[in-house]
Amino acid sequence: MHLLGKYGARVVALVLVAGLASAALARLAPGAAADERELDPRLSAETVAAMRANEEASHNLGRFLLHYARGLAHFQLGFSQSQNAPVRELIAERGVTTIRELGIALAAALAIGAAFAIPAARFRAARVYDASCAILAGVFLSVPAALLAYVCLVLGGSATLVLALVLTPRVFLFSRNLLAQAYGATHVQMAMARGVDEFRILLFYVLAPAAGAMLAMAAATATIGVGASIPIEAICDTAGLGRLAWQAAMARDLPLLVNLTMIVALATTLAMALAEFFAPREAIA
Amino acid sequence: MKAWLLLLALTVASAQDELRFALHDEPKSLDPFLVADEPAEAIRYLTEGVLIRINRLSQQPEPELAQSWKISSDARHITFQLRSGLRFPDGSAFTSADVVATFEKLFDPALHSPVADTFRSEKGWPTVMALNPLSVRMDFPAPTGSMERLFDQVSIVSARAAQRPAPGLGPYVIAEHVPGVRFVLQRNPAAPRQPRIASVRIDIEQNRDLELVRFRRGEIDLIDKLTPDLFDRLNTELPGNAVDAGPTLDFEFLWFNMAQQAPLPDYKKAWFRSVAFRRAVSDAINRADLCRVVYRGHATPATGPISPANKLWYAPAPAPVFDPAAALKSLATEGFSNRGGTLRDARGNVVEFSILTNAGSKTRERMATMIQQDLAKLGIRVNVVTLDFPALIERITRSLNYEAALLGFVNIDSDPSALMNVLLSSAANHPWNPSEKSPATEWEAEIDKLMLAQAESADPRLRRKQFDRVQRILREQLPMICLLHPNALAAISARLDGVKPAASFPHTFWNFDSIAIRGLAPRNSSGTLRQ
Amino acid sequence: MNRVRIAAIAVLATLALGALLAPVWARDSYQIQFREAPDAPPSWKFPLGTDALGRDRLTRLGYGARVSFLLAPAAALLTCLEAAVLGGLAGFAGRRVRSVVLFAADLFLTLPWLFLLIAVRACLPLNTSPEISVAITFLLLGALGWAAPARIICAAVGKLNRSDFILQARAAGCSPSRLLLRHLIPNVMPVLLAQFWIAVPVYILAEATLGMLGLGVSEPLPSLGSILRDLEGVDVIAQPWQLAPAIVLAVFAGAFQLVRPREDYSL
Repeated sequence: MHLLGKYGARVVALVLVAGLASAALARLAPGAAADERELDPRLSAETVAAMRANEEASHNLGRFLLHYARGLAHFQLGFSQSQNAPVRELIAERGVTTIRELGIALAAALAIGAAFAIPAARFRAARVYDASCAILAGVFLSVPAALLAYVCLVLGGSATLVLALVLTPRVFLFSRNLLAQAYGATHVQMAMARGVDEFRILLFYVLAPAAGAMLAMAAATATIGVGASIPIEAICDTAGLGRLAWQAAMARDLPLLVNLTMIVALATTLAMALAEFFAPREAIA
Repeated sequence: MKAWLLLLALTVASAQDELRFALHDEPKSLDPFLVADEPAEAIRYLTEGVLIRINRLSQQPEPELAQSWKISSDARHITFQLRSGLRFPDGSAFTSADVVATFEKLFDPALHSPVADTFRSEKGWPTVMALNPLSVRMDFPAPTGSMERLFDQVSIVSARAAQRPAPGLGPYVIAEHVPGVRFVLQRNPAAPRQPRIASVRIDIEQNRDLELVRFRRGEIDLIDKLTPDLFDRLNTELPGNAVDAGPTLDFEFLWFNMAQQAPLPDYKKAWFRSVAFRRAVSDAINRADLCRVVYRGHATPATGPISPANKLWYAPAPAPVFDPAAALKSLATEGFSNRGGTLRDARGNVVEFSILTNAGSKTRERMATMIQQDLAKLGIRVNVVTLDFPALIERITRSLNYEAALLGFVNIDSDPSALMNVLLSSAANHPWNPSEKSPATEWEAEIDKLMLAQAESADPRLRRKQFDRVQRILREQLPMICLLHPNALAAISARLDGVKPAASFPHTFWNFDSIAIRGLAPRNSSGTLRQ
Repeated sequence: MNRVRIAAIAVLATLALGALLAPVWARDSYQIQFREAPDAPPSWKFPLGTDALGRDRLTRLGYGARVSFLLAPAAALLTCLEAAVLGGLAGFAGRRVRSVVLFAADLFLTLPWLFLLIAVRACLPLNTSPEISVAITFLLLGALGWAAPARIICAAVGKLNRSDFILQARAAGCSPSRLLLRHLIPNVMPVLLAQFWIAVPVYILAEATLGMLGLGVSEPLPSLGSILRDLEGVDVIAQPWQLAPAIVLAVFAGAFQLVRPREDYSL
């Protein structure tokens, strides 16, 4: 209970500070109160002056935070000028896409990564197989997510596929090392010597003890996926939270930026907290 | 089983009777009075009715909700005879009361409508009155040349509409809108000009490569504005589908910061205010190369802001000069000298300045890079700076902390009055010296006088003479170094019939009452106006 | 050292040397525009063809790689220094300091730093040279990237802090500063080195991503990111030579992966 309270307080504090910091960043960045509609040649000087005054007023940081806090009490998250829609609706719609995308990509990465890692960990003598997998993983790790997204786009792939390609090598490399250590443990060697079935060894002697670390890895991988989703969705033009974040940054859309930062902060800290909970402290910092 | 097959057939048929294209961004506002960006204008064009619509091909006004109109000889009054028998989707009759109510709402100063500002003059706002249920008169406080063209942008809304947007008398109504994802429009039975295609699906697609991929797959029927790279690629793969409709009304231009209050060193301000310096820079830029390399031949070198596509106002002028030697001579007259490959002014300052443009526009970045190379031959050091749009706007409109900028101008209307808030020295969007309290130079004072005079003139010949003089001054003084007019590059699916790409926006779907799906029998009369 | 690592080091050395010596082997400057031959296919004169403005792609690739290969290690060094100080402090100084540092690290991991990069770019003086501008970008990447390595250093220092030889040193009266400098830091060096090896390709890829999003180096200075951005709108199947920069980047980053000691592979 105490642990839950401690983690909970930390998550809440982090989310609030992240929101505040992103609001400050957005407001202080050049162009925060500028609107490209001002360049409309039809506008008279009076109208432009009035628009600028409105923009300055709506971008006052203190006023925004007060208004936002009041709205939050009624579950209102503000209105996005760049998307011309309430932030709550936008996040609800786009969140579903991103969660689905991340969920499928993470599941695929875990399944494929583990599937390749198990033989590499079990049969350490199969150097060719191990080296080939490591090289393939290395190749995918070495290509920027944005470039992978572009190539997949041209070949007809989706953002989910790109995310899976970004996450799978990481899962493979970590799983391989973890499972190799597990296979090297004395009790596993003993079980093999006694002729215990391979499948049983894998399930009860290797995966079971490593489950905590694997879950921690899954949580940490999810945070990587969240970060990678921004350039991937921006390039693949998927209507998810990543693309929304990119559009919000480009348009200096304060309400959207603050809310999205808080969501990312929440997801990241929950994942970190899960990782710390599942894994020994020394293994995962 | 038969019922399912029928349902399937109907679904397929309705999917076939659908025009599909994409917009590159979510419209910032669907309120037709507050439209200020291209995506919003596209939705407004397809869903709102107007009294007069400008034919994008002929650039001439055509009747729509107004059956006819008459302009007084002093160009101060316009009387509309409205079409009879029209009803809004809510069943109420369309009358002069709706027109009056529209303009009352539009001219509300608290609204800050860009459309409304086109009606405003220094002498104030026009007034509107209903003469009878089908007749309306608008009285302007001063003569207004080409006043009928102003009404193309004014969406007539029902007097009973509680909010905007509301279903009106446009060709389509919004049936579905998922913000950031898509619009689905359905044919509006109340519209006087009936479109031939029953529905329109508009996706929000920011990635132009993906847009082209979807076009090739047959998921999209039109691309209104292709980049030159993608146009050439499409032209290689599907030659019949890529259409170059010739120059648009738009232009790309470079200008120097001549604002007195700009936080620049005095010696730089002196350079930028020198017409010989600006002329030298203009003469050193190879516009033909810009058109050939950056736009792959799909652009026309510019001598001024008026495009050759503007049939009514374009004044033929000598071809743009590319003469680096003449440029150096011109600079020498101002005391500049090229020593060891570096140009210095009379005081020994190295001639170096930055050109600002918006990040994300490959064509502008490439043009700026080519200009950098051209000016390097004169010994001028140019730094190309790309900024995201908000930061760019902040610099060129508020802090004025910039030296030169390269941007484009999108002209929806061919009339010179559309350039009023760019060319008037007091205008906030006067690029090189915004919001001047009084004209800083004699030539700017002359441009002010001529622009105001042509706007208030009823005589087309006099207007033409006055605006020709404005164009000559712009060519002599070069406050805007006009570079080129990009061509209208479109992708048109072989599935469509009747698409006629035009020079101004919307380039491909402006004639919605003529565009049809090949092989599909029209559901009702083919786009003729209802009586 | 196994054969794979030796081969990876050889590849790294070759690429790095090739990039650093670009001013020697490149025939022309990376700025020169051969405007009569834009988007030209490979030839004797232009082994990798030309870009949209007629500039030699191979020369630009050499200079672009030079920018990344010089500045990414510098950024990684900065990150490691910050991570060593903050992570070491967190692991050594006690629970409260550890909580504060880890909280700050989590915050740094969640904030939209892309936005800060956009903002810093916008604030730079307009006549900042492209070289300084890209150096500032890498400096920022390095300054902001401390959070993940710091967590790992914190865990490593924490573990060492509880080890027998440190306990013995403490019991023998060793001062905290001596403990830190003579015992902890030297033992944490392998972890720091591993983080350095991880960070270098990460920063090269980060700059490449920024370039592809249009936030990269100013013209005319090339970078891997700005060169990769040219892939937009290109038919890579019809013009496969345009993938050369992507291949160079993948080979370089991949070689870094292989050079790292295997047991130091981590997420």
